[in-house]
Amino acid sequence: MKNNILEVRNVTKSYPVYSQLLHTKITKKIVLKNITFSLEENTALGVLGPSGCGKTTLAKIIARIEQPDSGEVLFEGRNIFSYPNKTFACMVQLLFQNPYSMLNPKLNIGFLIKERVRQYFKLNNTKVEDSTVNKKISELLETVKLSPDVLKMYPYQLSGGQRQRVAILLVLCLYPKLLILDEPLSALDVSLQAQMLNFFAELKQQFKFSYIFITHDENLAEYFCDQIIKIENGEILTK
Amino acid sequence: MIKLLLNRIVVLFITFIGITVITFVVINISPGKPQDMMDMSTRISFEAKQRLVKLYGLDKPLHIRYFNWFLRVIRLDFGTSFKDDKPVLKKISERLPATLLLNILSLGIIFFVGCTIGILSAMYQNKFFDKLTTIVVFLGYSIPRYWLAILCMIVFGIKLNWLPISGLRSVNWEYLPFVGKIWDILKHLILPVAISSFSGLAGLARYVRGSMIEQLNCEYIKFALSKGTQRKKVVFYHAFRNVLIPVVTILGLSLPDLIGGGFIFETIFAYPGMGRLGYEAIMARDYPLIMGIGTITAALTLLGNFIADIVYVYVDPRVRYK
Repeated sequence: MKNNILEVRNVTKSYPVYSQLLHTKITKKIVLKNITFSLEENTALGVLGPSGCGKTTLAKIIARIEQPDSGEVLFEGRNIFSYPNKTFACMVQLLFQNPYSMLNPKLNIGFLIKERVRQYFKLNNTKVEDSTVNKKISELLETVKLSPDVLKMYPYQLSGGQRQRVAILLVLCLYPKLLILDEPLSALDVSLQAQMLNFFAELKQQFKFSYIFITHDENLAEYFCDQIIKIENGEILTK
Repeated sequence: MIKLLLNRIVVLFITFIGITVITFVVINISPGKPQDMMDMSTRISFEAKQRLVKLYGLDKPLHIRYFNWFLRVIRLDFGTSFKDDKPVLKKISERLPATLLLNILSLGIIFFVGCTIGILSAMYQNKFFDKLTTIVVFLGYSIPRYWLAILCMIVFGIKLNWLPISGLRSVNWEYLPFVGKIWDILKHLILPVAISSFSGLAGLARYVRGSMIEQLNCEYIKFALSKGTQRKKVVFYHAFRNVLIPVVTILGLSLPDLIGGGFIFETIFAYPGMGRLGYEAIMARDYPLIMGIGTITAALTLLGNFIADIVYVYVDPRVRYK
């Protein structure tokens, strides 16, 4: 029997609603209500639901970008907020809905990748020389099927598919145990979507991570995931 | 990149010509002529005045005089002052270092203190530090510089007697030891530099704060934080780099303010710089000196903007590749 890698227990989250005139808090909008589910090691969970139902908020809570109002999220049996930043970086990584927004527009891709690869070695307390870092970068570029030419380019110079692959490379750099893919295909055209789906399947085989696949496409979730939860109006409808 | 620089140089040259034409026309059509100004201090005859007009070439049409002046300026000859017959370039070169010293120190303080306040206010948004600096910064915005200058002169110079209130050196400066000389200049600079930095610093700190808050809310910052590095590292390597663009623009644009604004400011502090020289030249309708100061100020301002454009290209790769 597999162990639970992630447990989400009674998570509730709301955002304040401000008045337009004086910008005073008038009410709060509940986006997640008592969300509870778990995810086993090396499995894929699909999170389905229409736009605005709270899927991205859930992803951000699991990735520690947002804090829940109540409830808790456990990773390997421990509350995610009790992990030091450095340890948590190698556990959960989030691939944002728009890969372009993940990349600093003023820094070239080479700098962004190098920064992450160096961080990976630093987190594993390994002192490395530039040649080792460069070798690692070449390996990763090969994995995501990108040419080394992209290293000199800036995010705005890349195509949609290239941006998506760079973003994937950046999250894979740290070899996370859990990857959250927040609608990873929404920014791509149909032909690229098919390519990326096969690519994700290959990566899962190679890197052996668990992942949460957030989408509003039911067929895609069924094809791609071992278990599925459906969210509507902030509540889990079916598991 | 070279094409971009050449384009900028052509635009700057045209702007420079435009500035000199406007300055020349404005000073020549403004009331009061050089010979009339001399009449205020000494009683001279009509014939003597006519001789002066002829000597200064003021009897020729405006466009001819501008053309002659421009031909001389190309050879770096700005003529001689109507007031004391000293070469204009010599008079300016005596005063320019003091103005540059004041403005470079002010710009340095504006940049470092303004950016630091802006970054820390954004990092600790709505906390005590942010609220305190917001109040100080709005005071800097709203208090007129000349009023603050006079207030500080009364408090620190007259009441407390801590700092000198005029000039750049004491009367006995030449007899002081080397360290004493430097300390004396520094003491004279504290008030003018502090006051001239205060209002510029206020504006920059607000700009940096606003831009930093915008950047810190971007997803790429959240993603950069997710790799487990310290927040301050992400703030400086990622967010501040992007905030540098408006900062460079504002610093470039504040250069003319610092040189132009010196006219009143330097006069209040009796500071021996370009501003005070300009004020005296305008009062005496000393055309060659006014034109000399105007030309050099315009050249420095345009140079400042040109440098800002180059730095802009380096901090924003999107400009470099367009």
